[in-house]
Amino acid sequence: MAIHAAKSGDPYLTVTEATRQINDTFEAQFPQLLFHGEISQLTVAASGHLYFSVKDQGAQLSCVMWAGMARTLAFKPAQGVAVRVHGRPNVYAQTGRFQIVVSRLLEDGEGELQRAFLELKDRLQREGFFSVERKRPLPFLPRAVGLVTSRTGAVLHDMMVKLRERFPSMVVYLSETRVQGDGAAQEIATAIRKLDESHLVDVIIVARGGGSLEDLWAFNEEAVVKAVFASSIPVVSGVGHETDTTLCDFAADVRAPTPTAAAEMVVPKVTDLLQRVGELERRLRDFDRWLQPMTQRIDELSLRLDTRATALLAEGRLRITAAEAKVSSIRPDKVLELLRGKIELFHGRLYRVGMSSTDRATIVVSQLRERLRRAIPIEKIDSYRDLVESLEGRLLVGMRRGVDDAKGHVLSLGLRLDSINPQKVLERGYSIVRVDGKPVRSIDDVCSGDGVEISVVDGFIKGTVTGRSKER
Amino acid sequence: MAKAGKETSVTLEALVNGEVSEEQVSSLSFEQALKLLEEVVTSVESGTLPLDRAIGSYEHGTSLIKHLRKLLSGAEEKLRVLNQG
Repeated sequence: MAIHAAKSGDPYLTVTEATRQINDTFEAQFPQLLFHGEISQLTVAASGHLYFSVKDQGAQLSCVMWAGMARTLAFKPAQGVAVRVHGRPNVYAQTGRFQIVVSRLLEDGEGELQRAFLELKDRLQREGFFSVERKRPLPFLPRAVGLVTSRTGAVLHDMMVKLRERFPSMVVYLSETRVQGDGAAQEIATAIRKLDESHLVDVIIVARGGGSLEDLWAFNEEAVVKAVFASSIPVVSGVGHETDTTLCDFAADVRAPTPTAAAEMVVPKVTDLLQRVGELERRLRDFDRWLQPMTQRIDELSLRLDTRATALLAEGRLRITAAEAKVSSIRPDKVLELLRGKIELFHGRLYRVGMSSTDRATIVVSQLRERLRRAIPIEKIDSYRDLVESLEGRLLVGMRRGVDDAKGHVLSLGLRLDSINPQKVLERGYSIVRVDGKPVRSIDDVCSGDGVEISVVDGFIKGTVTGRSKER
Repeated sequence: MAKAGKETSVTLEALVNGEVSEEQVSSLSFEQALKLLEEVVTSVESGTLPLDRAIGSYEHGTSLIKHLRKLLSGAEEKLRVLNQG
């Protein structure tokens, strides 16, 4: 290091001079020093100046940021925040303290990206890419599911496990793409378009596992947002972890917290659906239940029919009874008698009037006969006659049968009598032995020397007992 | 196979009137078939249909159930990869 001697020849500099020379040297050597580390010991002075240290594991540098500069910061510095620092080294003359005068302070990495993210989000929002009215519902049961993700890695596997668990026969198409790195956004956009144009699927999941903001950056790029927006098929975004938010999430029809959650959203559980179909089938087959209103109606109608029939029947009976009463009130014999009386009376009058009036009388008689004929319901009389005749007939038949029965009985009795008639027995070759007129039934009824009389069919034989024996 | 356009719309009325063929039933989406089945079951349960139509509905309901079960059955699917390029 060059030592500038004083003009006086004294090799020793004043402190002020030494400090000035140090600062000059720093300025020449480090016009701008760039480094990164973590903020610690942050103090915000009343003046608005920021005093803090930026450190890493091996060292720390004191920093100062003047108030004017501090007001333009895009983020709020805080203990532990990783930052990138632009500044120049300087020894503060008054205290001899070495420090970095900071001209620019950026939140490390994320800060820049975060700003870019927010700017792009604002713009795309204004352009309508995230509008809520545009969001479409997911299909109830897609015929097939499209996946836009990397073929390698756990995400694809985890989603497949979830999809198969819920709906084993679900068809899944993978539209492969890189999910990070240069050009990834374009690939993702292309992969979405391919699925859309294939018309093979009813829903698309855009997925990636968790990572840093940089890792997920492709999903914040305009190309991806526009492809998601343009898709004619509903898109579910499952990018990163639950706490990660990407512009792809905003553009998608549905945002899922994770890829697995996205898989869960797009496919219903087959067991739930089978249960629902089963329940409907049970209800459909429950004839009793759905026929019940009909059977009830039939019951109602049959009740009404019964009531009507009963009423009709009662009415009919009433009419028959009335008719019967009327019929029975007509006593043909009485009418006949009455009329006969009248005719006889008339006859008498005719006699008195004389034979000269015979012609006129004949007419009157024939008129009367006609009236008589009308007055007496001949048919009725006939029917009575028929009834009487038939009863008579039945009586005769009955009596005849009774007589016949009696005759038969007598005949059979006669036959039975015949069978016990002793004469008949004698005809068959048997004979009756009598002693003193009494029939002999036992050997004890006779003694040797007794005179016996033997009856046969055509007379008597006289004999004497000469011996007896028990043997037959 | 596209979702838009191909969606055959079958109404309960058409179904009960026997204007819907087996093919049309078997081309229904799960959601449509389920909705129809629900309508069929509700209408037969209401008891307002004449008996012959109720019996017809029962038959249509049965064919819908058959179709729905078919959509839910099937062997585990393999992942299909969309052709690149």
